[in-house]
Amino acid sequence: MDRNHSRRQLAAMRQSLFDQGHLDEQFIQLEELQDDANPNFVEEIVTLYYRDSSRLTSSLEQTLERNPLDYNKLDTIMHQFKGSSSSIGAKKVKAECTMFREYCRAGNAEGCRKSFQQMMKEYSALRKKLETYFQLARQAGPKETAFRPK
Amino acid sequence: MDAANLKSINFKRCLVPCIKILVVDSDLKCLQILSKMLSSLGYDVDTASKASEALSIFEERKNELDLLLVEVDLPDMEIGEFTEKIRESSDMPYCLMTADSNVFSKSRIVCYGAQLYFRKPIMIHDLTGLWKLTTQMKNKYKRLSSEIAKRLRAQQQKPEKKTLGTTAKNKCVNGN
Repeated sequence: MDRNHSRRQLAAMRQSLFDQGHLDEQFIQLEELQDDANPNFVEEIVTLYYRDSSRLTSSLEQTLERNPLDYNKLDTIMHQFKGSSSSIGAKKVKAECTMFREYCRAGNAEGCRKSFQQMMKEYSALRKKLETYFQLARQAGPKETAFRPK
Repeated sequence: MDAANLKSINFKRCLVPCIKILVVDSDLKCLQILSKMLSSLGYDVDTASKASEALSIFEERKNELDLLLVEVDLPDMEIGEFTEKIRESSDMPYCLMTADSNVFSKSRIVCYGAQLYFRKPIMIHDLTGLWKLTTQMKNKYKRLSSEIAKRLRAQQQKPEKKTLGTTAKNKCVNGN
């Protein structure tokens, strides 16, 4: 009984992540790659993402503190960060990255800084949501057990 | 048939067995995703996260590899230099990939001799046809085409033999 409830909660949470635009179809691709051989594939990839991208966000933070701004450097780092974020389907984060790059190209320092703040908000929010999601997923247990024929 | 059982049948498997692909990307997450995608399609996968690492794997196992899938932005070498080194020592096909959408909006893409250029994030259905690019497949196509050509030529020579045969047939019929 408990498991079914967890599963429904999990499905609802997953749906809201898509409905609210936090995730896109790239995330579904990752889910489809998950199988018995790699039962925690999605969580592993997301963990890797947050680990790798933290050095990029630190780099961005440091570069944004300089005056005047090195727009080329910012654009290069953001390009990497955007690519990384798109590979896990982080839709809102990706959108903010695009905005940031526009400001870079326009040489708009204020815009860059604001956009970066907004991006970090989305980035941290997604992290929290995904952590909760994976915790729930572990509680709910592997999907297949209910259907495996005896 | 059970829905769960159907799901475990992989309809997208690689049509030619034993194709080995070397994936090169400094982003470990991408390496893991691509690795998983390719192996679920039936390819054998090897990975490298640096150009230097990739080149040493390549030199060692040129004869086993069939294809390279390389990220344009590698930390230790320009892509032009990397692909030149590959071309210098073999005619192995390679594909490039990039997250940079600007590359694809230009009217001319510098391909560095690549067979295909992928834009990241790569979808699994982008990879299903990679086997067609391998020299293994091209050789099989060549052999098949020359075999078919041979048989067509052989067929075209038959009419002369047919005339003789027909005469013989008529004789039999008459004989009956």
